[in-house]
Amino acid sequence: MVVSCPRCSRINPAHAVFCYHDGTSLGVTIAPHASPAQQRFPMPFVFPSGKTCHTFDELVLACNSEWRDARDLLRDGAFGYFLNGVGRADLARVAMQARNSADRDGALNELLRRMPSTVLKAAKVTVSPASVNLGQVVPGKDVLIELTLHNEGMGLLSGSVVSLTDWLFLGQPNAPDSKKLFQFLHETTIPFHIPAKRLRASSRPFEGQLLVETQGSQVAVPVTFSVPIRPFPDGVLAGARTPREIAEKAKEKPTEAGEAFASGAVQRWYAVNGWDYPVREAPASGVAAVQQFFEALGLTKPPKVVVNRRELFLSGRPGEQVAATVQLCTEEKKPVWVAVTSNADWLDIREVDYDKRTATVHLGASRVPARSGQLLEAQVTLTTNGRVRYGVTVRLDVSGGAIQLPFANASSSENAFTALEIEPEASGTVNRGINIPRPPLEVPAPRKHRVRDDSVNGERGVSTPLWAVPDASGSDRADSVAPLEGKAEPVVSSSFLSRFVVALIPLALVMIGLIVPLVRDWVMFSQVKGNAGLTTTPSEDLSKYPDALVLQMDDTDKLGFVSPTGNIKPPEGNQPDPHAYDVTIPASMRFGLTLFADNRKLTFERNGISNNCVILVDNNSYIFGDSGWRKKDRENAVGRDMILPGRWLTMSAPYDKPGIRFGRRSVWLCDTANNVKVTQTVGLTPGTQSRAFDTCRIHYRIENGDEKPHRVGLRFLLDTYIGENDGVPFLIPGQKELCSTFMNFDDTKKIPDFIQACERADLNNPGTVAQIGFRLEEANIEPPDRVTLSAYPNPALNDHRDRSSWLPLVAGSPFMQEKTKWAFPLAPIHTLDSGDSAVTVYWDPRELNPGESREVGFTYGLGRVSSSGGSLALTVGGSFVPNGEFTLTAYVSDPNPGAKLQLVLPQGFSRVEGDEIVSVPPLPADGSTRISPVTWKIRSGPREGAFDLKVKMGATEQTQPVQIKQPRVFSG
Amino acid sequence: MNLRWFLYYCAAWGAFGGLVGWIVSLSVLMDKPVLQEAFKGMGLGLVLAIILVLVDRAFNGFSWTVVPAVFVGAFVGGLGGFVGGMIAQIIYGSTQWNLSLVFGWTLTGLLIGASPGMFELLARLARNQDTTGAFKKVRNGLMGGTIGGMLGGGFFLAVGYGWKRWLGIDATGLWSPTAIGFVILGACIGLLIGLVQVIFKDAWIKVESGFRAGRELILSRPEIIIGRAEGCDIALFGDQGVDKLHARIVTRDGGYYVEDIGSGGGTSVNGYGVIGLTRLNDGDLIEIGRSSLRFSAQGRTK
Repeated sequence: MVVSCPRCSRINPAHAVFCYHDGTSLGVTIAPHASPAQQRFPMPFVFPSGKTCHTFDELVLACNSEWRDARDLLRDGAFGYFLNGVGRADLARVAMQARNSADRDGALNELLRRMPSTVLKAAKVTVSPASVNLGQVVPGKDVLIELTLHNEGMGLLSGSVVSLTDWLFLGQPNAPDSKKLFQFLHETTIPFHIPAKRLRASSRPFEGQLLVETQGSQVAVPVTFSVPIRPFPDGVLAGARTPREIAEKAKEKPTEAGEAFASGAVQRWYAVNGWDYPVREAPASGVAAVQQFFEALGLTKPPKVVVNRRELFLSGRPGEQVAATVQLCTEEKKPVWVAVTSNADWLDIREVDYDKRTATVHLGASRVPARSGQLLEAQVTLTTNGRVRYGVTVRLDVSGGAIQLPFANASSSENAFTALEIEPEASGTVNRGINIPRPPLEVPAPRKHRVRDDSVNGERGVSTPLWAVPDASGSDRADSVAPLEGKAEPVVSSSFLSRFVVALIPLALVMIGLIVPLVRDWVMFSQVKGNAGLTTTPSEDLSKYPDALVLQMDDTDKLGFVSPTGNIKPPEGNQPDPHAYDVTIPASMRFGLTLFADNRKLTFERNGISNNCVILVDNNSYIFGDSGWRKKDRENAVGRDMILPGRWLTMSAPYDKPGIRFGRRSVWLCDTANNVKVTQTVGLTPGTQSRAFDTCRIHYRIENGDEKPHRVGLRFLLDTYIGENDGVPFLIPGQKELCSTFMNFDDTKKIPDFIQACERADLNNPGTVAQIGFRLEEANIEPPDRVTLSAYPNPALNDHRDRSSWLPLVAGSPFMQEKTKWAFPLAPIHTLDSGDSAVTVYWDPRELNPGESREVGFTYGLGRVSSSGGSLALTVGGSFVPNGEFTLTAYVSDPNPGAKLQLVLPQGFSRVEGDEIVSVPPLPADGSTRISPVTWKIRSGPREGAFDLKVKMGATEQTQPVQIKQPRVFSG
Repeated sequence: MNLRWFLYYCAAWGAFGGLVGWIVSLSVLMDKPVLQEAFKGMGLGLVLAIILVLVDRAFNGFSWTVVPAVFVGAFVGGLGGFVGGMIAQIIYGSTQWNLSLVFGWTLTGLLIGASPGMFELLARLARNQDTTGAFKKVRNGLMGGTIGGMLGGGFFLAVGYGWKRWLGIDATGLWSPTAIGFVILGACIGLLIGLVQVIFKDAWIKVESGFRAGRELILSRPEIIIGRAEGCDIALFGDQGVDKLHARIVTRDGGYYVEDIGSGGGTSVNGYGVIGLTRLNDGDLIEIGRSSLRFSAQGRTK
């Protein structure tokens, strides 16, 4: 009967308990006491030592105790035959395969593991020592340690030992390893070591670890030790425990410390502590050694060092001693150090002298080799600050050959570099015994002694030796050769001068070029100045400037008298009232205008004292410049003093602004209670078309200097007067008739750019034409909110009964001439028989915050009316820039009914308001004027230039020239 | 020439260029203010650009490329002046703000400033070469021109204001404010173009010994040729130890390298012979023949 294996399906004998092929249990019930491990073999297995094994357990134990014999038996195949005989073909196959295994220990171990055994314990490692503490270690020697591994189990124990630390190595010092494999049965020893170079002094202990790994287990072995720091033993550096402390102590006493560096004490100290000395070159001496050390530590930036020569030519006879020097220096205030090496044994590096910023290397040959006629060459390497290396070629000509050198002995350090007179050989090579193929020696062309000519700006190039005194021979210069004969040419001064002259050429050209425009403008200025140099000094002959104005200020205190009606008059003028009393009228800085040519007035008073400027602060009126008056003789007082709260901060100061002449500036404090300050500036300015100083520019700046807001406004009352006419009518652009009554422009938009007044209503002879401009060029100056044309607020109007035509009705006696407050009714100009016109310009109150200000202003001066006689005259006003708008007003004298005007514009101009053909308005029925105005608003073309505007009325034609000019970005 | 002389010549010849530009502008008289000022600006830009290109070439070495460089520079400068003047007048004419006048000058200066380096940039673009150095030169010129234009415009206003204040009359029609303003503008543009190039230089070479010792060359191009030939960037005439094309300095990956290009005498750096590309560090001494050159670099190239 056969039994089939449930796994591999192979046939087994009937008595088989386990499959002979794969060891699978065949499901045969085994007696409980007969475990496979303890089941007796049909025949025992006997070891060579005589030990007999009847069961697998006994066999396993015996193999473990007699491992070597077991291994041999395995190799011989005994196990294979035996196991096959006991019916364990599976184990027999394993044993047979193990015969050929290279690792017989491993194969035996595997075989034992497969055997059914209850006694085989798994291999287990223990390590001794479990931890390694080396205590204090001295640097300089390798530290050797051994680790013993024990197998507490059975069978072969294999695994690896790994160092987890970079200073801990397995194996011997001559064969370090970071990992070691092991395989042993009972015990093994693993050596490891710490290399000497890893033993560096430190304030902290070293802690490392070895890791032992076997099948299924890990054991870590800590390794600790310490390397105490040895402080510097003696000297100025004594007690230093770190390189930084060395550096700090050396910095304090560099000279003394330099000796320690130079003697190598510091290097030895480093070695004692197991540290790498940072200076790799030969140590310098003195302070240079300290510098060298500091640079090596990175504590200081190395200076730039230059060497004075790159080639040395020596000459001598065999056996002689020759010497030369090479110098290195720096411009910076740091010591120079140098380490010198040579590649030739005949060349000695003797010593290096250090002197602050200079290092002098003495080298030479103590005995010139016996190689007569040869040219020996050596390369000297100079390693200096920053580890910059320079190569210096030293050539030694061993005399006794065909070459004669002009200098016999180059031992003097001063005789460093002079011209060579050598006859080059025809072959082009120098045959000196040692065949050094080289090009023919060239005679260096003697150079001119040259000092760096950029010393003009104080610069010195780094190639100039600092210690060099540029003498005629130039012997101290690395790159110059003394001339063979004669003295050095004095090229210093001529080179410098020529360069200086060349450098001045562009400047000279510019200066010469600028003379022309400057001279031309000066000539022009001297002609223009006459026109601008207007003064009020009568002695100056300004008859050739008929259009000039004179600006006169009320800038002195005056005596006056007060009439019972309250009128104040200066001594001159009207007849004094017998009941009046004398007062002192302080300066008010009011202003008046007159024509210089004939002294005709443009304001009622020459000094403008009938004008007034009122500032309204929170509904309280303050008159600019009016602090009241004081009675001259109190005993004769009839009225009372009127002291007003305002005062001057600046009464009269020059006002200089481009384009303004005779400017005056005054600053008035309205009241200390509200701290509102008003600055008035007036001055003459050229008219836009006339370019003569025929216009007065009036400007006010109102500032709230208080800590709380105030509502502030300003009103200017201008008492107009032209020539002999106090009640002139006004010509208003856009209006169909002259204004001879009153006019109220209560909307900013309705206020024209200007209004005019002719002295005479005769266009053939209009006389003086005054013009008031309401819009200044500066954007920050507000245009007025309201303009009124009316009768001057003469106190006599207070008694006038018929007020029905006045506007508005104001209670009380508001007409107080120059004392008139903010608001007063508009009465027709000719209310009083004499007629007295005034223009009032309002800037309505608005709130000013603390520190805030507002600026207002207007102009008053002469206008221009173009009239070639006859019944038609033209005048313009506005902006005369390309694409700007201006007003053209035509005045028609005694127009015929149905008369029409035709406007003819130049090309590019266009009408903004008004038709091309306009009917002339009829004259007013009251006969107040004989002139009828027609106004157009015109936009100029895009081009600038001189243009003619023409107005035709039947056969009559009048031309008004206008100058359109745009400011230039490149020419002002 | 060294860098300080370069700055001085830039400023001085720029001033001269401004003066010549003003003389040219005097002859421009047109009805339309915009065109007039545009042509005035063009005249200024043309003259300034030509002079600045010549100064730049004088510093960096004359070669056959100076002619096309002048043409390109003049075109760019003239166009810049034309556009700047036109825009300036349009804005100034409508606002009459001083600020717009300064803006116009700044714009003019900006466009003129690009002229010295424009030829090189265009040439490198056309040859598909590295344009880093040329672009930097144009960029530096733009910055210098902008600042110079701004300052020049400011001075132009100040001079005009001074004349009005001291003479007390309207300066319209005077020559000297414009002339002085143009001169200062030209000087400012020239100086600042040079200054920006000097300040922003990465590396430069100074001839310490040899032909025209003391001159300095800013390494603004990717390759600098050293030799005895006429077209070399650093010409070392009169030194028989220098070949016609002896060595070159190239820029690679932010660093500077010297290479001996087949010379007989060899090239050394700090006494050590150059084999292949040798990196240059700040302060290195390059020796060629009997000439020596010092390489200097700003921090970022170390």
